[in-house]
Amino acid sequence: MSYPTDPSGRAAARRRQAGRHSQSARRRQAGHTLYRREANPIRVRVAALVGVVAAVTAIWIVSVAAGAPAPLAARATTDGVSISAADASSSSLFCAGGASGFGGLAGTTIYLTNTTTRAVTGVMTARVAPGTGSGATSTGTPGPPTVRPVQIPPMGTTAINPGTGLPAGDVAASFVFAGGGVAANQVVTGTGGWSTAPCASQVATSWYFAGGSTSPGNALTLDLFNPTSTDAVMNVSFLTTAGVITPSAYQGLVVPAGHVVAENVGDFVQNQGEIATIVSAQSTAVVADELQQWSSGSTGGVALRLGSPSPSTVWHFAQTTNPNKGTVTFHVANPGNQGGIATFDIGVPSASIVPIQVPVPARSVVALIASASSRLPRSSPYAVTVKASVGMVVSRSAQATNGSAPPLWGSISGTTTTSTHWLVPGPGAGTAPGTPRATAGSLAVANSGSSPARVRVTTLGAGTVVSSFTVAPGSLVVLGPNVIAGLLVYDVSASQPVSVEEDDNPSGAPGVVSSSGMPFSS
Amino acid sequence: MESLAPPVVAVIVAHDPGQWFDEALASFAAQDYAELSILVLDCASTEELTARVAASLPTAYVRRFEENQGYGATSNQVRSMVDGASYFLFCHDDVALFPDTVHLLVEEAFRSNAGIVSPKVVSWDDPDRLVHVGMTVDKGGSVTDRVQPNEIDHGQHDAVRDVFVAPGGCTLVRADLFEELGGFDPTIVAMGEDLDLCWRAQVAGARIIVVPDARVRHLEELASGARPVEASLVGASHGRHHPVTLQELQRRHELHAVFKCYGVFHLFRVLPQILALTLGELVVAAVAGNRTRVRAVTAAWSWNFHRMGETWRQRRQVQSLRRLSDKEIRQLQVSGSARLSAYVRRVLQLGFRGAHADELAAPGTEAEAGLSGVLDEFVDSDDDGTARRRDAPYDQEAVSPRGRLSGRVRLLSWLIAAFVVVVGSRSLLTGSIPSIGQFVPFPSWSSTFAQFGTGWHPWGVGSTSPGSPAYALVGALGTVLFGAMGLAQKVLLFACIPLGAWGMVRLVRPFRSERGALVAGIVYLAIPIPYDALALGRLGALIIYAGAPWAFGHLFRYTGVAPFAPAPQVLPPRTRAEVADQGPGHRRARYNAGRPVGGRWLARHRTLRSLILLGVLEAVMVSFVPAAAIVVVLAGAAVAGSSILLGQLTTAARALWLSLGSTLVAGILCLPWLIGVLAAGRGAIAVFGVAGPTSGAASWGDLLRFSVGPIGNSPLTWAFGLAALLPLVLARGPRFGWAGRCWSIALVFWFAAWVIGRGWTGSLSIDPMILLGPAAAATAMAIGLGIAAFEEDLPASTFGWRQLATAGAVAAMAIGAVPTLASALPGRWDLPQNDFSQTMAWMNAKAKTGAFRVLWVGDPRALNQGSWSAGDGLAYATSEDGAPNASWLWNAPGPGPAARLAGAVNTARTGRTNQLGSLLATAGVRYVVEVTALAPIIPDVQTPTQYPAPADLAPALADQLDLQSVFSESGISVYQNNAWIPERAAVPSSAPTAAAAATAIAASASGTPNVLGVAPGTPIVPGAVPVLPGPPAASSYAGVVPAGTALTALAPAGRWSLASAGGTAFPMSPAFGWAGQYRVDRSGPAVLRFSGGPWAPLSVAFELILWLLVVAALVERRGVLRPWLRSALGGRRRRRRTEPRRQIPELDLEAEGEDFGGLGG
Repeated sequence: MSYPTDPSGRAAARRRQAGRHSQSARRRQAGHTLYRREANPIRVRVAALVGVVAAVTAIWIVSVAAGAPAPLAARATTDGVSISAADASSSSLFCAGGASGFGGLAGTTIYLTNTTTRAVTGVMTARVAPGTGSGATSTGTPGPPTVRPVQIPPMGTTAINPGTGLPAGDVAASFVFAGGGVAANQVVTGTGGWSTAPCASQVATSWYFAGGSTSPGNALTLDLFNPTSTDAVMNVSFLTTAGVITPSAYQGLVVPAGHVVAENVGDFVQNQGEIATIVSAQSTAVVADELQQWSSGSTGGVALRLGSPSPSTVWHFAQTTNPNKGTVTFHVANPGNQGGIATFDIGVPSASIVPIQVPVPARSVVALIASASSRLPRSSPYAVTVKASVGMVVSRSAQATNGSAPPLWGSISGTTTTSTHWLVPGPGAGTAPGTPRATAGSLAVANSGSSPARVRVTTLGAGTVVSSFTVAPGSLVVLGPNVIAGLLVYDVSASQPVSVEEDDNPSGAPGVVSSSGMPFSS
Repeated sequence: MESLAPPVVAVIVAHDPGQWFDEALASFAAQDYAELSILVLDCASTEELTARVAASLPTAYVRRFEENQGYGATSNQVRSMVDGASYFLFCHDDVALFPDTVHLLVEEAFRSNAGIVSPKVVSWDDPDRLVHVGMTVDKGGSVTDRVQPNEIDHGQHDAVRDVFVAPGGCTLVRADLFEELGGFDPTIVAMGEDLDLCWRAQVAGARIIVVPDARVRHLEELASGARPVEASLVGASHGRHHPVTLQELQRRHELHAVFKCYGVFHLFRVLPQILALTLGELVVAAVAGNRTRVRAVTAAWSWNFHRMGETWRQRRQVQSLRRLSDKEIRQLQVSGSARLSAYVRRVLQLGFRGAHADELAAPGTEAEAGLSGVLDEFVDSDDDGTARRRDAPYDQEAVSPRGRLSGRVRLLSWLIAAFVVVVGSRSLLTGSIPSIGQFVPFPSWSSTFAQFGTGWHPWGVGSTSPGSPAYALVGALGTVLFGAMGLAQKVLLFACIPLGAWGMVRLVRPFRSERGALVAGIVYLAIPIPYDALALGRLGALIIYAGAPWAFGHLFRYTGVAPFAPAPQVLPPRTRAEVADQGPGHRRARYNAGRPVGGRWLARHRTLRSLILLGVLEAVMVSFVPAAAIVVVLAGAAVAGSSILLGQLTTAARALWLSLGSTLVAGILCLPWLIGVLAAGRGAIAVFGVAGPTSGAASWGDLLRFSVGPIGNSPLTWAFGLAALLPLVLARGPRFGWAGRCWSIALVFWFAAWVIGRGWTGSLSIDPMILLGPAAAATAMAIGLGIAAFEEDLPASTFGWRQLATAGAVAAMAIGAVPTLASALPGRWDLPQNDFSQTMAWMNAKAKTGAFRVLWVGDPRALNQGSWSAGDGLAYATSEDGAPNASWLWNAPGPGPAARLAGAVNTARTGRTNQLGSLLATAGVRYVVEVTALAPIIPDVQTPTQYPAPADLAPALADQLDLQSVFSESGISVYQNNAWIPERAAVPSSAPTAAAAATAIAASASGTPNVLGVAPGTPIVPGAVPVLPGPPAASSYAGVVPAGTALTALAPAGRWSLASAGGTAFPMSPAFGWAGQYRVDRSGPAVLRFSGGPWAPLSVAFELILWLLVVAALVERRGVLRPWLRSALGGRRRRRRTEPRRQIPELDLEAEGEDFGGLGG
């Protein structure tokens, strides 16, 4: 303990203290303070400040750790095709682009597959396109629609010819079901070939196609089906290698409610080898299909394709095979006003291939002949994922060499969707093949994700597990004819989103007649 | 030698004069004017004056009257009594003339050819002080002195000049003019007879001058109030509860002169201006609690209206004398309003309260608070129920010298703040309010009340839940505004801002720092919350902003923590001593005499009174914003939590008790509505708000800086939080404690907003802007406490970092206000100009083809009505025949059968149907509107806040086969339902579709229409035609209904009945699972009517009675109802109540306290 040694220091301290006292007394006397002064200890003050700052900081740390609330997930894009939930109150399917014995085409057959364990009832309303108009391809008159009840047994498939009872012409049919879980695909057969395509499960205000042709010997038909109750007004334009063609007759094209309109694209877009079609609605919404007829001497091919409701930056082709002598071509259309690059990622088992990049100018269509690329394997299937810098539309056509078994040519649209649950319908039903001797040739499952996908393939109805396997990331697995066969409908489920594609026979080469699966919506 | 001077008769009107009378008489005796005769008119003085007059003026004449008729009427007697006089010198009995006064007056009268001459009037006691040197008047008859009160006479007014009024007391009037004018107006018994006479003289072309060389001393016994006006003169004894004040006499006689003296043209030109000024004066006086003035003004008008016939007769006489036009006379009047100018000067000098203080403190007047007093109840309730002056903490004397701020500075500050707010709101104040968010137009006045009173509401597909009391409150506001509901909406919106600031000032005032209170109020105005609420159409947030400081005031006061603690002894010792000296039973004022039991009972039960006061305030807020209940409870919890940290468990318990108890009181006040809410079961929690998507929730940082809208979306607003830290650094004692509590409150509300915004509270969802209102109040209060601490706690410190911190905090406040100031420039706080109701106006015309509903889907913040959650941040609501109005604003928490609409939408969203229209058609939904923005997005015109809907909604709607897109622009998409059937439809049995319709109805019995075999987009009930037309939201419809089946999409179907004109009810059976179908056996007129049973009127009556009781109790605490009650209860009851209390000494103190309850003190 120490004491001040300087007396003057003590005196100064007393003076300061006295000064404080007098100051305080003056303040009290002056009435400056109503309350008794409470000297808040510095620790209380610090504690309060620290408490406030700590609380603010703690919550801030928690908020950073928790991250921003995730935005609501956007609805998964579909290619206009999905199988509605089994517990849906109602569902509809729309099939267009087929024909009822017209223009060298045999009657279209629609296959309705019930994926539920209960019978589904519904109503089909079918109609043919009118035969009038400069672009008309049909000879029939629209007349009244035919309305037929349909019933699909549980886990079964029912084949329907929508043109029955209708005049010859392009036919379209809409199905309304009391419930969901129904898938539909249609098979069209024509001169030298046959094709299968899924029916749409939705209407849309725009549709896009890539890979049409009106070169000599080829015919391209655009079918616009309006299943709604209000007239639709459509605009149709075409992207070609010669530029954008906008036929005036196709601007403000009216598709009456419940009607289908078939237009021969060649009437206005002549001798174009690469055509991409853009359909947009000014009002209401429609379903659009294209039917490409291709000829090569005495044989040829046909391709029925459902359009894509929107361009996409990702497209999938689960299996593509470059034949030794055939040709495989990817058609990439860029309907936007900004040029972009389409990058083809190639997936093969146990290998890595440098992607192929294709510049695609705005509002143009380009073709990539895959079979001419030395990077790509031959006679061995590979998966293609096209990643575009801007929204594009991609399709693929395959051509077999002359002399091969017909059909020699076919085309398929890519899918923008990957899913963990697919339905792969067969090219016909048990007693009603889509074309004579129709059978499934192979089923490919491609995994474009970054983790392995465990896949199980079962037959619908019987529930028999056909195969169970794992697909490595960026690879594919193809089930050959020794595993799948006939006209069975397959259910493909995977632990990761995958894409599927079935190759059907008879065909002149792999990929000529093929179909993508149909994703279950939930 | 014969005098040539004109004879003058001095007329002295005397009534019970005091000692001064002798001096006055002596002054007359000393006059140097030879031709002066003296006539004393004794107006029934108690003691005869003859002897006193004779002692001083032996030659004077004295005439005694047995009845006092007043100064004017008595003076008029000279017309018959005196003959041959050239001039009359009318004098009061308290006027003393200087020796040359008469001489100078007559001389100047001759020289100037004046009809009326006035001397310079000086103070009786101090002749150097001026009282009057002539007076002037404005167009409204308001008399103004030409000199200031107590102005020293330096000769500055010593020039003969024309004046409008020669002040009474001593007036020389030419005898022929006096005769021509008919003398004084006998109906004017006092105050104003000089104005009346002079104005009439002006009309007759006479000149009125003031002669400053002639001087008189005037005691002004009457005008000063020292001598009361005889009750018999003013008729105060009959039917009046208050004495007639001089102000009232002056006001009524001024108005009387206006009615008489103006020509027709000027009268009708000036009268509206007077009326407007009077209304403004009444409002200001009511706000100030100046009931004396309110009574004076209203009584003046009443007096004149009751004598309009007589006035008109007098007016004809005056106009018959007219020689000068009003235009010429007006040149002698001052321009503008003399009364308004004088008032503004007083306010500038003395402040708002000071400007009224004289009248509030005037003897014989009751210092009651009127409107402001009732409002003050919500802040200033007594804590001890006995003697505390109601606003003692706010009193000027209670403010420490350092905390004082001149009235001029305060007024200027508030004027600047008001200027900014008004400028920022100018487009909204002058234009119409667009239908943005909750800013939807109110229905008509009658509809608003009907909405509250009827048992059926149009929400969803119909509801019988009781209506929110907000409808009644809005209706009451509309009543006050004479049914102008548009104005009511503006008042409701824009009153919130000043009300909040006012509450904030009152909240901080107890800390005895006017500067702190001023800063807190202005900071509260500068925080962007109210303007964001305006920009985003959040009525609820505005209500909470306005109410939070007032609610905090109650809560804080009840805690008993200084400075909100009740002062145990607030009466000045001198006054208390006086009270004690006067012994038991003394009663200073008349308050005890008529004080009703209710008020006394409330005054004695402090807790109950606090509960009721906060409960009423909370009930009002809850009516508009149910989440206000949570706000109050959270505030109580925050105060409790911080008090626990400070070791004040009692305080914590009191805060919790009051917040919970007041919430219970609010619930009782809103009981029928509350029952309706609780009936919603688990869904009742939706009453607090509908959850939006969490992805758009404000971040923690955004909340801390109050950035939840377009206003103040700037980093600068961080400055408010920084400034609020100041009291934690500087403050001592109570200021430190309350600063900590403020921070606790702010943190609690910020945290609640953050947690709720992230969706972690499940179904409980409250608009963060609502929760930020209390946080803003706490922040502003903390900032105000910082300033108070600077004044109170810092002087003890030497200059150092504390002063620098204060400077920094002040700078931070200024910086924080910049974004709000900048946002004020455009004039509408970013509120869009165009709304969806304009965009959708075409929809109203569609009602001609049948009543329909519109289903609105989107973010709940974007919808114009109360909504329900459809999950995933999607909300839905309905309206009828177009865009909604406020009838859909405060809806039931549960949707009832309307939940099917949400189910249908979600079915479509998940792809489980592509015929949504068919599912919605059963509810009469003709249009589905997806809203993704607050208003239409118009480039270069308006960019309103966008509220994206769940991403799957638009594709789902586009996929529907029976929905047709009919209108789409940025922010809104409208789909027409092609499967629609009218809300009230019929299928005639004669129609070819009758069988199909019956089948369709039968197939849709579960509510899910059978779409098989029906072309997509065709009506689900073929052949349905609209019937029973009528306006939206009605509870009865009439029209011709064909034989067949009638369908009504009105829930609950069982409460509706369809009857023929003869009263025969048609049998009803359920349709679509919830709607009704009626089998109509024959065509003809029919009425569809809702029958709610007795519950609705009973519940409304119960609620009204509760509110009236509570409001009456609160008002009565101010003594507003006392006169009425006194007359209603009668004298016997009054005696019974007053006499026993004389024996209770402490009641005197209470009476004393009530005296202090007045503002003037």
